[in-house]
Amino acid sequence: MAKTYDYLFKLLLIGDSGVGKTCILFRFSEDAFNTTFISTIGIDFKIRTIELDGKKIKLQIWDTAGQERFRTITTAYYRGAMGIMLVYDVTNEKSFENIKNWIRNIEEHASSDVEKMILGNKCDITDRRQVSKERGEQLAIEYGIKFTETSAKSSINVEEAFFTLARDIKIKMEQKLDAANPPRTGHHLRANEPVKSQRKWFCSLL
Amino acid sequence: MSGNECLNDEVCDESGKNAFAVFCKRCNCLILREKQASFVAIQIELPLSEVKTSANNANEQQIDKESLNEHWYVENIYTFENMGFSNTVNDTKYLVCAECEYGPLGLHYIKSNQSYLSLSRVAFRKNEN
Repeated sequence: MAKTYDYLFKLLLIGDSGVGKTCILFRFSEDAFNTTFISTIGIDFKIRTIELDGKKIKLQIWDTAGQERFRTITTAYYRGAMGIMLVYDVTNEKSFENIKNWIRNIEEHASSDVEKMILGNKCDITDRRQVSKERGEQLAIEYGIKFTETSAKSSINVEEAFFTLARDIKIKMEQKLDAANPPRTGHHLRANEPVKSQRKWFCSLL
Repeated sequence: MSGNECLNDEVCDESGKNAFAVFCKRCNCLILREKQASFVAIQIELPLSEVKTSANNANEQQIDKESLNEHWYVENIYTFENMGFSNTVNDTKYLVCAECEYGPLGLHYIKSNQSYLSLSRVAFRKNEN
């Protein structure tokens, strides 16, 4: 069957327990009164399709499903990840401080060129805020990572954040492809078949 | 195509593919674009969406199932526009709307990577895009 997309990106959500990673990706926790068959089993991952600069991109998104509590996030979980959302809770100082530990964990276990972004979640809660937006921005500058504040509950910036991360991955991937297939290689012109050859290349990453 | 002949002309095109795009019944999230899945007539048992709690014991949950015979067969999970996959139960995952988490909408088999989306759990209409 003809392929229906141009790129496939595997993304992970990382951060302390309770920062709202699950709400960024999954919703049922808010619907606690209505026990459904699905909410008792839990969700593993989601596939979302977005369009960026005329390209169709499939995002396959996982969260850690509580593994972070046991500090068992290791190489296996990071394998093939092309983008990571680092999430903290603006009402929880500790979760912010731990972002540095998570970055260290990623450096240790994930691919060195994985794209990262920091999200300060629960920005709709103003009365219990412990971490200012400026501190979030400062941390992001320190590590050279993009940053935004989000509210999964009020749907603020969540979708935009995924678009930003996806765009960064796409740019990086296209740069790599250009480097691997320079347009003027004499006897090996491949400019007109980028999608098929790319596909093979990034499938091997998954 | 023995056994898999599309019984429902209204939803199949001439080659047995979904004539219309497939949406979530509850929130209208786009699940599949048209002509991406093939009709199959096989019997699959699928739990109902709501779980009944026993009147005698609140911890005891009763899972009612129904037997469904008409499905859209999807060869590769990346064919879905938007789809959620549950944690694994006996080598299968349940399909669930990626937006509102209504489901199960069907079954995904880990080993074969095949998915079956049950016609009665989803909605169809022409995709305006």
